[in-house]
Amino acid sequence: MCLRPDRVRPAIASLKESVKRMPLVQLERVSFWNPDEEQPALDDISLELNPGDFALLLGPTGCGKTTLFQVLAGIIPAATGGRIRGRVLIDGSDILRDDDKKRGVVGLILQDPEVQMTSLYVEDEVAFGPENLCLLEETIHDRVDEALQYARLDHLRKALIYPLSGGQKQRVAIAAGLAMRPRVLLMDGPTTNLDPAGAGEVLQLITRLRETGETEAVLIAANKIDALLPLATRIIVMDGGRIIFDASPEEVVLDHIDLLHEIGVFIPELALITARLNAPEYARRGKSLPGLPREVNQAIEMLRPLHLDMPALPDATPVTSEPVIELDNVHFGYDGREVLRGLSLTVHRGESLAIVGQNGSGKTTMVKLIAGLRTPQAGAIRVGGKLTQEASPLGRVGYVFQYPVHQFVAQTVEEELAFSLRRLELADGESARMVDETLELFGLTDKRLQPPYILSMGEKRWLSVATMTIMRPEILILDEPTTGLDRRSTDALMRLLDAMVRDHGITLIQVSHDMEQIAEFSSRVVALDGGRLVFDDTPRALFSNHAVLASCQLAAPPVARVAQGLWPDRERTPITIGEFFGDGLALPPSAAAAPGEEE
Amino acid sequence: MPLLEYQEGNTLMHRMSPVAKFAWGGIVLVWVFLMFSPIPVLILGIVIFLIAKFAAGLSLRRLLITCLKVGVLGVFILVFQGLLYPGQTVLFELGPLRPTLEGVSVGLAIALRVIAIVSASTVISKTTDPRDIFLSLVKLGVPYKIAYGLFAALRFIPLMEYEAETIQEAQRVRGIVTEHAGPVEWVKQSASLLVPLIASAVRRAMQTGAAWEVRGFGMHPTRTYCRKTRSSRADPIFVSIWAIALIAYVLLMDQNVLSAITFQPPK
Repeated sequence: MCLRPDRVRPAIASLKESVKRMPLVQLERVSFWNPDEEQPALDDISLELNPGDFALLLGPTGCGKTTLFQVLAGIIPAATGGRIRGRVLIDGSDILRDDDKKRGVVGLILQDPEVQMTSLYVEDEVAFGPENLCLLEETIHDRVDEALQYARLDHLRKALIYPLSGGQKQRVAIAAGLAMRPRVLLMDGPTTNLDPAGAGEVLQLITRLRETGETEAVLIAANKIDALLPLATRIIVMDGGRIIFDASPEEVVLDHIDLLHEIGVFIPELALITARLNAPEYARRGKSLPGLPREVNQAIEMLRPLHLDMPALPDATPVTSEPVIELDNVHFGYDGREVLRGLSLTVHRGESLAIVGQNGSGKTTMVKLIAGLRTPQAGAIRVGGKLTQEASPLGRVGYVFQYPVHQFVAQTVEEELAFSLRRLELADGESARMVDETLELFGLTDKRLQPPYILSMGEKRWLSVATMTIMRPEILILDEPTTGLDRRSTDALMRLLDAMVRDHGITLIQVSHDMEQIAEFSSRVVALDGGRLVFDDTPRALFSNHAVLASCQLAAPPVARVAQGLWPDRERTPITIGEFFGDGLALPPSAAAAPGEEE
Repeated sequence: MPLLEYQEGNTLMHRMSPVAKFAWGGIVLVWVFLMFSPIPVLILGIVIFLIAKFAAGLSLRRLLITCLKVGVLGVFILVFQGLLYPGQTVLFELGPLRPTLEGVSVGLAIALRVIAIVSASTVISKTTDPRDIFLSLVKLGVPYKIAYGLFAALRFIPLMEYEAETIQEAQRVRGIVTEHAGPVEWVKQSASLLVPLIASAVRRAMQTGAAWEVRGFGMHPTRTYCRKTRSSRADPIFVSIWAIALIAYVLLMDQNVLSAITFQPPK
């Protein structure tokens, strides 16, 4: 049989066209069970990623985001074991069954920049992937040059990786991913572990990816999506191993805001503003917004014609004048490098103090000194009037570390709590009663006999806080207590801590990068820069102090910036959604009362 | 927290291949173990110091400090050997203690041996980029996955050290203090440090493994290496000179030529 070119050509063209239109990634009814588990971690997932997609993946802790990424990246089930059903098509090839696993087509960036590094030097790290693909040496050099230039890392090419900042390391990880020339780039919480400056750096790079279309599709999982919202073409929402929505940002955050709230994810503040204005209370008065503003400036432009009145703001919470912590000209350093340079500060009973600043500014060192884990090299620290050098404040001061598992010492949840009471030498009955009471308060009664290590991330955090509060400390220090937690766990934890401050007069100190949470829960904020105290006032004062915000590379919450733009001549402007609408609520009354809201 | 001993440079030792340097280290090791008296070991030590200064560009002062730290151990060896070695020439008597000249001599030789080995290994570690060791291992036929695993361990050590420190502090807050504990309590409390440390190492290793796999690690039986294996024309010459010198020494010793000036142990 002879093939006639005039017939073959259109057939080839149509074949080419259909290949072009084929999704880059296609999941068909994929379910996955972890080894020895009955409940699927992914439940009947179907998903397509197409060229031009810049999608955000949203969902509460434990919803299956990371598992989904691992399936897409071809790690599950090959490296992890477990049972999988359905088809995973990458670039047309079923990677669960075909020999061609399409390595390199999908790139994956993890939350922790440290664990994904393979090399000692930046350029080796970027060359690692292409070397594994057995590319020619010249090709690898070209790719390394290109990726480093793209991530603006040329000047660090010969640098060692380990002394780099978190933001720089994450940029190296992205450059290393790009050097593989992936068609799809997956990022699992790329800014979660970074300080504000690092997060800003990485965000700039992500924005560049969106603008230049360096990879055909990008999928980013994140806890907070405020900063990513302007870039998104699509939002995919997961809960309980399933995809519950997959639509445009407008559709997801405006039409389904109640459900988003119910599953416990963080909703961008601009979306909350829009949703509240679209609720009947404002809509009736013609004050609703035509669409979802993606950026603060756009929001100000859209809101200005509505002539909203600024509600009255609450007065600052009065604090006692009883000092509980006094730092007097404290100096401290490691290996000849001075970390704290003459720090003086007095904290009063019942204050809720937030400490902010970049990594390396001395925040953690400062709280470790207060807890008596370090001794000042010069100056004095008094806790409850006693010098920490002379009387260890441990016991009076509780300290919750950033990673809960670091503090676990017992076999079960209840033993973990009982261990904390060991030093108090209580009667057996009294100790058991306090354990029961604390388990109840933290909602851990059902888990009392479980090993602490198998708790969920949120539960581990609860337990680590409970092991400290059961000792009834006067001061409670928390190092980034809500990193990686979803909105439901964050809110519940902060409410509980807030109640302890109000009802028991505990003094709360938290090291935090989370400005929205500080706006909501802290009465005072201290900013450190290069080991010096550069700011000490209320969160409201910080968010309008542009010089300090700039020098510490911090950004006020979106709602605070919108309020400043709308009411520029006011001295004090709202800093939370509740204040913006004058009723203390985050969502319109109907949504706020939705089931699952109260912990 | 220095992760690397390696110092960049372009000296003879820097330019040599790791294989040649390890061969040299091996020769030095064999040599010091063939020496029983202090003077030849001292001479060998001086030669290594000269190499460190002129062929590796190292600071003699720093090298001496490193050696002096080990020297503390040397003093113990010296006293121990001096007292216990079954020699005949008793130097002095102090109660039951009868140190002998032979004992002191052997002790001194052993102490100097340790210093010679430390200085030779310092020369190697300060002039060898760990990446070149990795490449040399691969070149010697070690599968690249294993060689890379060893290399990755190097990255993990300081991370784990940092983590162990944090865990210790976190547990101090819970009331675990290892410093003043009795032996049983100490073992129990160390276990409570190890559990979170191992848990976090396993978590880290799994994530790292996944991140590597996504980047194609282990996909092909071989891979490309952008970095060139180091070698210099001096490699065979340097190693040969040392090998010949060692053989010559062994032959001379066999003739007992040096026994007149050294404290050769009685055969």
